[in-house]
Amino acid sequence: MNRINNSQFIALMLIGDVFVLFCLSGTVTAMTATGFGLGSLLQLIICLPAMFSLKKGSTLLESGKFLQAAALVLAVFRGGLLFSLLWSTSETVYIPYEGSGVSGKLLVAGLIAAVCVYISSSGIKALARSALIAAALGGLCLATVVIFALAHMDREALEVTERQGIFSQILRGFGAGGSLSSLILMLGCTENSGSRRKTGTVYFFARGILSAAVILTAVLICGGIMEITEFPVAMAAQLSQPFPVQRIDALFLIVFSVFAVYAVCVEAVTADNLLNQLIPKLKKYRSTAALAAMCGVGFFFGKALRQPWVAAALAAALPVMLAVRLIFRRREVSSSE
Amino acid sequence: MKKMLMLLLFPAVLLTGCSSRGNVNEKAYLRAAAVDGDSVTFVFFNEDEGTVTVPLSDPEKAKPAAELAIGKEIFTGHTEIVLLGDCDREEVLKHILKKWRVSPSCMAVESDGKGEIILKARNPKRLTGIIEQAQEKDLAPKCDIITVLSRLLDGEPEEMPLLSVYGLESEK
Repeated sequence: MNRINNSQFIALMLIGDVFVLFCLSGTVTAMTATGFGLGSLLQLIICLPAMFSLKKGSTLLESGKFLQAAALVLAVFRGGLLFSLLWSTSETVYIPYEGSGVSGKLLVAGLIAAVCVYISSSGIKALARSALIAAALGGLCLATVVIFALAHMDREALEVTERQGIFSQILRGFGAGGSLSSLILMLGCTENSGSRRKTGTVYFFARGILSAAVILTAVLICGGIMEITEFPVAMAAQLSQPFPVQRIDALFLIVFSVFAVYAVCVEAVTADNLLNQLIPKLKKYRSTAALAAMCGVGFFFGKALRQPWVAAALAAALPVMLAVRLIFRRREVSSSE
Repeated sequence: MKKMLMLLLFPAVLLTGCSSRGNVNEKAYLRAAAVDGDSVTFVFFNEDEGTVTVPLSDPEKAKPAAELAIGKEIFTGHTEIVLLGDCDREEVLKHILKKWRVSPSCMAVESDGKGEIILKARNPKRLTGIIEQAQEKDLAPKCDIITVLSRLLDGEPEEMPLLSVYGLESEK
């Protein structure tokens, strides 16, 4: 099993989370930022049992077949959700004429899937190494947008209240960061097993802060036109103009595409490793099969997967199963004593 | 398998827009537009392309008609100023922001009379310069498309600089 360091792990996971934020649709307010922060905190709490198990050296790849199969299914569904988000957002992100219309969107999704097959077949290590560079590029884009937002902010936009309430925003935030199968698998691949709980905790806090920052930036830039904005974060990036004669559409397009590839690759690599454990005889085309399944799930169930409660349920499934397993094991140990 | 995949991905570089379809000379870059009740006027950065007025009230239909008139695709992402005459300003600005993908610094101003006449009489660079100077002297409100559209969506009173062929006018 390839080993990755803590920075690579955090970069890999945050890239996927930021891609989901790029594809965030619907109205966002300051309360949404709070909800996303609290959603990250909730995910940390439910992942603690899994992180305790990892600290003791028990990784997902050493778990029983049932858990591995469940993680595989969840990774495929997560990948399907990512393809569905890519499909719906690609119309808004200005891709040149090749990306317009149904055939264009199919071409874009197909190219991304092909690149993912290539990258995921190289293993976790190759993916993780390049993730730091991609994360740095994304950080540059994000910093530019944040600086622009602070220079041109519409403070009144922060006062707009969320009609649906804080609970719906927490649910939205919880479902948005749902790549927990990949998280648990990747965390098990980090070098120092003793620091996995700390690394996981750092990741969740970083994600909460980053999500809140990105959403608040979108609110500050698009606040006045939020009711006509379908994808506020993407629109905020497109409206940023750090210099009078320079927009960052092109940089955002590159970051969007790169992050889409990484987000899907993380799920593909997860599925590849789990398939290797579940069906050792399947030596070739594991990544291809996983990606094909993700595309199919995205095509047929994409709309359902984008519902906040569905995404939240899928996100919570594996950590809850791991927590239940931990409880039963402790009971067995205590009853045998 | 990886070699085959690389061979398949290599032609993807042909889709990067480096073909002649994206040639700068084959596009007309919109500098200013005027939307009046019965026509839309386009002024381009390249003065050789002249000023095109299309007798259609809907900007969505007017752009393709203008492209036919000048024989080039019109790129609207660098539009500097839009003059709004007798039209549904909220809908026009929504369309311009979402479909034309103009810069957030694109100005939205009110035209005193037909915007077509103002654009034919005055260079767009001079018009934007007039607005910028007026804003520096607090004689004109902030009028970037985002600010103006935000006000319209909030139901606030319209607050845009008023331009005529003579320059900036005081509010009506």
